[in-house]
Amino acid sequence: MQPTFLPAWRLAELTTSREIGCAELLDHYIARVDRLNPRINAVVVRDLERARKRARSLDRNGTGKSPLFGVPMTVKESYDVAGLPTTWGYADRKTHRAEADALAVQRLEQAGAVVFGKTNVPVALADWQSYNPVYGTTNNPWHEAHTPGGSSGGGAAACAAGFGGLELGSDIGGSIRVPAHYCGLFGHKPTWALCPPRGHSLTNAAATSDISVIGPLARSARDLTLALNAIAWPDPLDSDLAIALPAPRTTRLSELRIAVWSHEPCHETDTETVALIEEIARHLESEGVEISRTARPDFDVTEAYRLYVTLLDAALSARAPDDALARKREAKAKLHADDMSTGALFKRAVDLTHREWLRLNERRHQIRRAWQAFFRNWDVLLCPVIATPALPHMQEGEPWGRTHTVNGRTIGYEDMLFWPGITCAFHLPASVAPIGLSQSGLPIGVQIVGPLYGDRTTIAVAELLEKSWRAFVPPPGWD
Amino acid sequence: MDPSFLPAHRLAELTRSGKIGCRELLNHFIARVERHNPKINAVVVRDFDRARERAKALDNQPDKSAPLFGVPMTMKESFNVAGLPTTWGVPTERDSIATHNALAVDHLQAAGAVIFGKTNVPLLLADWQSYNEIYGTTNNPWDLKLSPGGSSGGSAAALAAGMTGLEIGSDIGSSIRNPAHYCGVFGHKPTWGIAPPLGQALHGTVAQSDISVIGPLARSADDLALALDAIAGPEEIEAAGWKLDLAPPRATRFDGLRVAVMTHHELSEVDAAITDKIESLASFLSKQGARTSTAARPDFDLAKAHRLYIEMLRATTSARIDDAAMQRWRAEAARLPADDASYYALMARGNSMPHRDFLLANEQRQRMRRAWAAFFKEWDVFLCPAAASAAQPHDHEGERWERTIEVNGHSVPTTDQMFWAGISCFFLLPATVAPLGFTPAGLPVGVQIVGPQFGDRTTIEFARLMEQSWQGFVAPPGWN
Repeated sequence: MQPTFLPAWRLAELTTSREIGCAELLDHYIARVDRLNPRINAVVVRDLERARKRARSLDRNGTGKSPLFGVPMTVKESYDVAGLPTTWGYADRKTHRAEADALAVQRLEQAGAVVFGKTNVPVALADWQSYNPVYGTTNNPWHEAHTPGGSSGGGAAACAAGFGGLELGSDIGGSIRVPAHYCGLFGHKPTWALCPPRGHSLTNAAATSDISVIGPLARSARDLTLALNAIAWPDPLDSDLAIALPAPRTTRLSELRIAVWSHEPCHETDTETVALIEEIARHLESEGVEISRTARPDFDVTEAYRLYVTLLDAALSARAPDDALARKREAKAKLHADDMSTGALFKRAVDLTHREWLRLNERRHQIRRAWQAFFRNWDVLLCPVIATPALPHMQEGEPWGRTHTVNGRTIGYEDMLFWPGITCAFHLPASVAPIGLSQSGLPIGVQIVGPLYGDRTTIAVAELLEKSWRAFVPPPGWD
Repeated sequence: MDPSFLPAHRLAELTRSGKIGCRELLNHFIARVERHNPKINAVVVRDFDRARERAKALDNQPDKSAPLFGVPMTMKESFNVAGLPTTWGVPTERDSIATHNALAVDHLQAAGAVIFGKTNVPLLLADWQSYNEIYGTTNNPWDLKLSPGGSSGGSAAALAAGMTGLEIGSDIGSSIRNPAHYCGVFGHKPTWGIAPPLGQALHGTVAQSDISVIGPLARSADDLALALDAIAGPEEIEAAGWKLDLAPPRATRFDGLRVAVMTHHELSEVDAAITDKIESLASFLSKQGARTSTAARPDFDLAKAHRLYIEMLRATTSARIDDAAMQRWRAEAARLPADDASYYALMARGNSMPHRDFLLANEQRQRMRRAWAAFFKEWDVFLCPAAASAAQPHDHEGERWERTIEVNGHSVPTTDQMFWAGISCFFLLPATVAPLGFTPAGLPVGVQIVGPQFGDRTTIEFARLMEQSWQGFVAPPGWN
């Protein structure tokens, strides 16, 4: 059996039944990284000796009862792994070495996984492309002239190219969802604060950042559940609360109620993406799903989006360097009063007072309640992940300030935050499932959004789509 | 048996066993409010008719198993009770009538309580006194010339005077602990976040405030546990993801308990009447077999923590400031030297704090929380004062931060005591106040019992042990 593109749960079956040894499976993926990584530059930090030792020890002593037994995997470069650099792409962090493993890395290994390397990111994890002065540029295995996305871009490229069984990413503005979509993978952005991010920080932060989450990317929906089960538990340093994640609302198509939001005026979305989501809706309808194309949560979409941009900027301000703030203040002074572009909103958010943040946070919580009311009537919402399939590499200047063309219209690069942000600002869980390819052969995914703590429901819908519509398909040319 | 000063759990025993009817018990407390409240002015909103109907319904109900069955109680004015005003003492809110109950109100009623009124608060809940233009001034039943404390001052006064069976207050800067201490009753400030405050807000605010909590005041430690059980547990949205499973008390006897004691800090002088009593308690605990230390402290700079607390507290309450006041605070923050650590300067900086600075301060606080967590691996509880002195005379002059109180015969800024407020609540820790004794002048004082995060049952159990073997609730004289 050729294991390369099997999902993690199948790999764990093979190692558990001893059809393949853990060390043997690890070596298979290491050989692939050696041979094929130069084409895409996804795995940028290797930890082979430690991983081989661990895999051999699992072969000798493992009970085989762990859910990810012997599954070779990589994690995003931004996670601490003891002895390896955590740079977030900053050149001046090149010599850094982490002292301890991030909590999620520990937990995945407790669940049996074998972490053997780390994958590329953009500088500060702040882009939907993954290039930086430390490690260079990662390419999309579907088309090397395109980016695999970001910020978990190296992770998505590695997983799609069959460099390992599973990947751990993070997301504050689409950073799990966009690369999953760009690379034809499954991904899950958990409900905010469900999975403790300790050890995913440049400064060993003890405080949890607003909106930001950690979560998995994988080649099957079921893998998302295995990974989520491993990492969704309070940090014992912070909380004694016990998790009580409910089972999926249903695992039968005929019992599902799905709202479909395929496009939105003023937020240009690629027509192929919109058409494919509408095709999915027709497919689901024919399978007995109750579909609404008009049901929407009861709030002002423009206000909600602006809220997201400001709250995102506020959350990121904790790690913004002083000189960046100074530049932003200058840019803010030059803005026209009626400029409500995403870029302008970011600039205006500089020096936000905590008093103003409290007002915005209150609005956010009211809108969370509107989402909650919406999800009493609908089990999940399907919508685009982001405006288009994978972008071609574009590395001129700063990410924020570029433009992108969608349906022949030019939009600001940062305006693409709409689809990722309209859900994560409100802390909602969202899974991504691959649903097809564009005419140019690039993958397209759909965002499956659920109620707070409805993580198992969104993953269940991804699994239903996997079974009834399309499963993971490897990119051509990566055997 | 005269039920006036019985604890709530005893009242529930009486109604459950049929020794007294719910309506009868309610009428008893209503009659006491009619008789005594004019002197104290604690119960400022009355809801007698609806309460009587509810008590009558309970009397006709076969199932009497609810833990607070038929217990007549009142709530701090700041909680929404449908049909009653929620003003927080703000004159312009005089006619604000709540349309829905606060979640805690629903939970207490589900636990069998009969809510028959609301109790007085200071303006915007921001004082250790309880007076405002709408409802006037509440007096301390131990001495009417003194304040009962605040901001849950009406709550503590009503309990001490035997006008109610149980109370729910709120605390962001000692507002449960201070009045419990001033009036000689029990109070519990829960671990932040475990008791949802939904409906304890002006203007329908739904976002949960940092530091702020809701919690019970009562005439016994057991009542605190019963009330906490009623109000704790995630609200609807969060309940989809989390359940609360509070650990049992670490110990149910003093023998073997590890107790750290702190009675002094340079930032807030404490009256000898209080420090002496806490030291006596510590000796008593040692004799009972507890391991005590007067030197053990969490591993961070408490003075720095205090400054962070005031800044973040004032940032957290800054949503209430209007634009004009905000301009003034910003100007003040810019004018004052960066090293000015006075309350006023910290308040000016906190009120006008950039969100980025708040996040940086929060990071420091989170690290201090971890130091507290490490501390509570070595120690079970941490004892300290709840305030700098016993109850103080009414003082309505000027601004709060300009006022002084007398401690050990000299005058100190009243806001110095924020140190003893923040030492627990800034770090989200649970803290129970239990009656400790009396000053030479005969005023009650309490002790603050701080525990590890989610160690609420440990601090309440400690208070119960004190109640058994040290001192329980003592009724003030003259309120028969």
